[in-house]
Amino acid sequence: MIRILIVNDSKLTGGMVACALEDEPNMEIVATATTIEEAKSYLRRGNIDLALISSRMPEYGAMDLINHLQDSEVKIVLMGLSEPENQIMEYIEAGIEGYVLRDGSVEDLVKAINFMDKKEAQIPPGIAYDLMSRVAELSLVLEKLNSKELIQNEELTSREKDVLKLIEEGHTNKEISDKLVIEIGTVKNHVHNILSKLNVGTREEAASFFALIKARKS
Amino acid sequence: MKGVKIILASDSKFLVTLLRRIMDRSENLEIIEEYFDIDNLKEERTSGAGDWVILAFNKNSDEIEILRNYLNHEKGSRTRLLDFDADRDSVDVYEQNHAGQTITVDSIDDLYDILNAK
Repeated sequence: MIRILIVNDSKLTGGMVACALEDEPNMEIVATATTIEEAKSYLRRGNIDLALISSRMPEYGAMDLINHLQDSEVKIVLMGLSEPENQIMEYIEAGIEGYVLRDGSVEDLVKAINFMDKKEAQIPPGIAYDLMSRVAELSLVLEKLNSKELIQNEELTSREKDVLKLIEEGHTNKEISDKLVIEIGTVKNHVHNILSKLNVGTREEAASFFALIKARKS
Repeated sequence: MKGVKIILASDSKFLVTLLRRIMDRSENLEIIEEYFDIDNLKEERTSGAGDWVILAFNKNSDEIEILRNYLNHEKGSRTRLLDFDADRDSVDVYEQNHAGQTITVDSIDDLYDILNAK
């Protein structure tokens, strides 16, 4: 039996989802929460296998709850997604096990939960391609991280570290130039030096490298 | 044939399939048509076939206005328009040529009650 917590800011919508899933023989609705705090309170009781979270929770609530569950054994299925594929990737990287798009159906939701239960996933080709690229990118970065090249990070100047942090946050050269109040040409020089010192080919690889270093230090 | 016939209009496939499941559980409610496109509804609907139109979770106020206009021009229609607002857990109920009435819905039973009301 899959014990499910439904998290939806609409009491009625949450109730309707609960009502629809109650027909499934292998699913039990433990509770329905309308706020993130209420959801966390239910999760503390420890009798939940799956959190079914609406992506439309206010104030980035869905991502907050996903991050909250990162070290727990509770699986996550996100529903109602209408974001472009790159944002779905962010949710996948944050730790969701399944998702249902806003254009999906209740049947798709049931399938996603059952796939998750069997430790499988149903992934559209576009997302699968992004995932494969991401795995390859991370694998390369990890390889470098585990080699002596890690030491080179220590050679970054204080300014280069500032620039690297802003690259990791997704800023363009122009935005970095504005934020650090330096010429755009200077930013480009810093980016060139960063890529060279980290021995990576792209800003994205540098950003992944920085994220892994941060994770390692924390 | 169930007593209350429902025309479902929503731009969300998920909500349409969800509402269909909920309606299937009721004794008296039956979805007879589904529309994902409001213009299609306006063009294809034949007058008087339904007791209700549900506009589920559609935040586009222009489309609600189109449906209200459609409703007002149906001859002798008993069709009513129910516009659900998920952010407030409430529905605005419109009858022909009447202003809307907002009703709070906290549960599926509340929704059943509103739909079943004559």
